[in-house]
Amino acid sequence: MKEKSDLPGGQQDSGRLPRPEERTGLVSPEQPSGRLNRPPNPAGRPDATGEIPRPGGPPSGETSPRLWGSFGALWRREYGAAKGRIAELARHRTKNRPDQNHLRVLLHRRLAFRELNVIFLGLCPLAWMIRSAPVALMLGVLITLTLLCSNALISLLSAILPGSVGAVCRVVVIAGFIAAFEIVVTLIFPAQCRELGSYIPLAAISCISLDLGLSASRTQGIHYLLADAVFTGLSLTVILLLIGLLREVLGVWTLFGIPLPGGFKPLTVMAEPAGGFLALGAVTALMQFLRNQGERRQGK
Amino acid sequence: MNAANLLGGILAAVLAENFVSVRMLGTEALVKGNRSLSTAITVGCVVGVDVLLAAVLFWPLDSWILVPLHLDYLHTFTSVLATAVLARVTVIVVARWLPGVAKRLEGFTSLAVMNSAVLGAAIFSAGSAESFGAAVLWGASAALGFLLANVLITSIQIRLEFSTCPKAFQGFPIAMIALGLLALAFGGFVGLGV
Repeated sequence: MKEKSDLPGGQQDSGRLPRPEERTGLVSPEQPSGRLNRPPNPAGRPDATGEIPRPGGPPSGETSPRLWGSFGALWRREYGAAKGRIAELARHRTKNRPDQNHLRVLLHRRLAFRELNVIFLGLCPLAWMIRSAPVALMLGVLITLTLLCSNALISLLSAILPGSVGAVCRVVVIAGFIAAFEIVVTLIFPAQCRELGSYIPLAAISCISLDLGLSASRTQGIHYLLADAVFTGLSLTVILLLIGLLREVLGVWTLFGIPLPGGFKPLTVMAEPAGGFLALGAVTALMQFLRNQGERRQGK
Repeated sequence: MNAANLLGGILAAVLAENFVSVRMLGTEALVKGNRSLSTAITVGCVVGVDVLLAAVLFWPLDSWILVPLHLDYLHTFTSVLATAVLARVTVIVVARWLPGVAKRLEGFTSLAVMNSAVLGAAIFSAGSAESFGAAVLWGASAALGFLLANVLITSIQIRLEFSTCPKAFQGFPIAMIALGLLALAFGGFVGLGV
């Protein structure tokens, strides 16, 4: 027969399970259970320790399992709600899975510059920066990667984030990715980044403007959204490259930094800020012309 | 700092380094929704206040916290975040306490306040001013320059509405070309050495 129990503090094994208070070692087995045997104490009257007990709650200064129980209930409720939201989102996305035709329509809409206003808004903050084709290409890739990564991350987080913080979260994620890619780009293209100076963070405003244009794709599922982000970034890159080429060729008479043959005297105005606006106007007019031509052909 | 230096600094920020025509910032608000001169003045004032606040708030953050703690790599992240917070606060303030302004802006408040001019003010305030007072002055001058450019561009756009231009140039492209011509005019102030 077991004389002494293995319980801490030399407690007697009386064949019953120890109470939670006993397990933590806060009370002895002889001490009666607080909730059942405590003499009635009207709310608001100080107890023996001089403290006013909270109505319906455990006495102060004592760790209560009810506190942990309430935390557990809260966790279970929030986890259950998040699981429900994830399942609902998965059902919605399975139901609205984009097929090949949808992606073709998207490709046509973005790369044929159907929604030029979105691209124009994205172009505005970049106007100063695009002075040469390599810089334009670098910025285009930077913005495309930021759009892709930020939308992927936001899609993953969208199930567990409340809808009210969606816009704030989007800005934070875009700012984070721009800051990270800025460090990477500075290491890879130091000369171009020195030329741009402090202007690179302005690409974040461009990303935020372009991100607003993707709101329609957000309900279609992650594949569709990421495809839309890539196509939007690519269409912006094409326009940036055209502006960069125009300014570099006319303003400096070089192509990707290589001097062009012939005795053309460069138009210095194209290297100035005014040249940026003029090149932006010319290229966007060309885009509008091509779009109008396409619409007229479809009309016939 | 004597009066001549003070005046030179203000003129440089308003004219020679104008936010819109020389630094090419804040063109989104100019292009999108200015339909009348009163709207242009309203947008100019709202964005101008944001530009001033961005310069006033970000200069201490950069000079007193980020640089002494060697947290320069957080410059981009904090500036974008500060601009977004400022834009959100402005939208709330305008919607709640300035119904007249909100009605005049009509749904493009967020576009007007979350633009590159405000972010530019946050980014360039640290490099353009050596003290807090200079940053306040620089921010106020930049805001004044934005208001001036906004009113000028809107006046040009109102005239363009009554002129005939090729269909491909209508809207954004012609606004950009007009802005380019305005930038050429502002470029003349650089030669004055203000």
